[in-house]
Amino acid sequence: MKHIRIRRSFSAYLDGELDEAIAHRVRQHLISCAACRAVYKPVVQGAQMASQFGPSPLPNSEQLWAQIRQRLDAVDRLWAAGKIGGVFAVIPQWAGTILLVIRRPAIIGAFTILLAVNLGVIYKILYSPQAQMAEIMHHYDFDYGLYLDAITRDVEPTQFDALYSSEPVDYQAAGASISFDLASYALLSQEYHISDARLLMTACCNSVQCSISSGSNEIVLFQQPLDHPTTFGDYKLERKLIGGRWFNVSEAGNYQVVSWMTTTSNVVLVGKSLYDELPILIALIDAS
Amino acid sequence: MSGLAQDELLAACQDGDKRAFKELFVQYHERVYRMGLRYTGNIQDAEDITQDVFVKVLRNINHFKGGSSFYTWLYRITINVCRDKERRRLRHYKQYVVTSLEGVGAAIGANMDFSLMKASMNQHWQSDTQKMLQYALSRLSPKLRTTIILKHIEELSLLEISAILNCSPGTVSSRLNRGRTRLSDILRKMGVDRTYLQEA
Repeated sequence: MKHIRIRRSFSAYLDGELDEAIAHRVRQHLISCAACRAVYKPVVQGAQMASQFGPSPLPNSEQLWAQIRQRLDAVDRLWAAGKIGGVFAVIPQWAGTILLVIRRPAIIGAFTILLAVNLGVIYKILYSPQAQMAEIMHHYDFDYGLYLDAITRDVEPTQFDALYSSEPVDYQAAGASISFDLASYALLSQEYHISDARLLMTACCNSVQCSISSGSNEIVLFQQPLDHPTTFGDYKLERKLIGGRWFNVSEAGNYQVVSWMTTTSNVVLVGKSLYDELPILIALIDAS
Repeated sequence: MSGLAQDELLAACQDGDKRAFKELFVQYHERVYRMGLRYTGNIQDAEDITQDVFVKVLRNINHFKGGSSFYTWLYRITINVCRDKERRRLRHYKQYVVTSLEGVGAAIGANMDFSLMKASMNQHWQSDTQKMLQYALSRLSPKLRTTIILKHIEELSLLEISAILNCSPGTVSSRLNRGRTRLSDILRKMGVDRTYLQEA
């Protein structure tokens, strides 16, 4: 046994409340281990001192009982009816329950946690990536587009599997610390589909890089803090205030992409063609 | 009435039999009183605690389902009442200026709670040695003090204590280790060793 387990059982050993086999091990250990003997010694001394407690004086039983009866009789009319517990019957049951709760910090703590969780759920519903995407689509007046969604591998397969052609993408290979399953679907045209996507966590800023197969339309969707330089390689980045939030807007290839990091793990991305002004890409990366 | 078995006695109490409750009081009030006395070191507090405990027992007797032994349930109530009592008393003593014992504390070089020492020393039912033991006991944290009392005053086994405190026997053993070591430490700082205690 390790020292800590031996020491934990010192009192049980001292009081003869260990199995003989364990007691034997403790005994042998004490013989061989000076450090544990040093810990054991004050335990023995304390036990010997505690054994010196003398007998306690006896209470005045009749007087005590009379006082208890007096307390009961003072408020307890139900006692006369033979109902035990009447002394507190003057307090409504609900008041007693409230008092019980107030006096239990654990219950208050649990209630607080429950409240916080519920608020979190409500917040998540109101500010979910889907809600945020709907908001940004509203601002851009999108009515159709390419929908890209990434979900974590651990998440139960959703309706994406049925609706979208999906292809697992190993972002670890790209140096990322998070892996995704990528599902993509082109509502506008099948010629727009995601052939490759990487979440670059190791670049100077977090960015999502998507390659679209039609033409040389590689686009880079930036995610970076507001105080970050507004250029990244050949791509230019502009920030726009939309609906009270700052969005990153970049132009790459034939596309203008607007991106918005909603939380540290969620990204909402939208894009549109520079030529026909039609929205062509909306991406939602959910790494939560 | 005194010839009733405990189960019958409890059943009678739950049925509202006043004489049964009196009998319950007769059988158990000394334990409760002793526990309160050792926990607080004060006769008046012990009497108050005993009253509070039996009023609570009376109020909650119908909630006792017999899942544990009655005395386990009774000890739990007693410990809760003791802690409540101590909290109230400490609030009272925080407003109490204690000067006479400061010199004593400085002399023995211990960081002591003088209000507790004064409360202990004023108890005339104890000899000087017992007062020091009681003072050392009162310096323990509520958990350690409760465990030491159940072990050394009530002379319960680890298993019985673990049932009352709702923790494992290992935890009880660990608390006993700390409680005993701390007792030894406090008494040593007060210049008391076990030889002196045994002689006294």
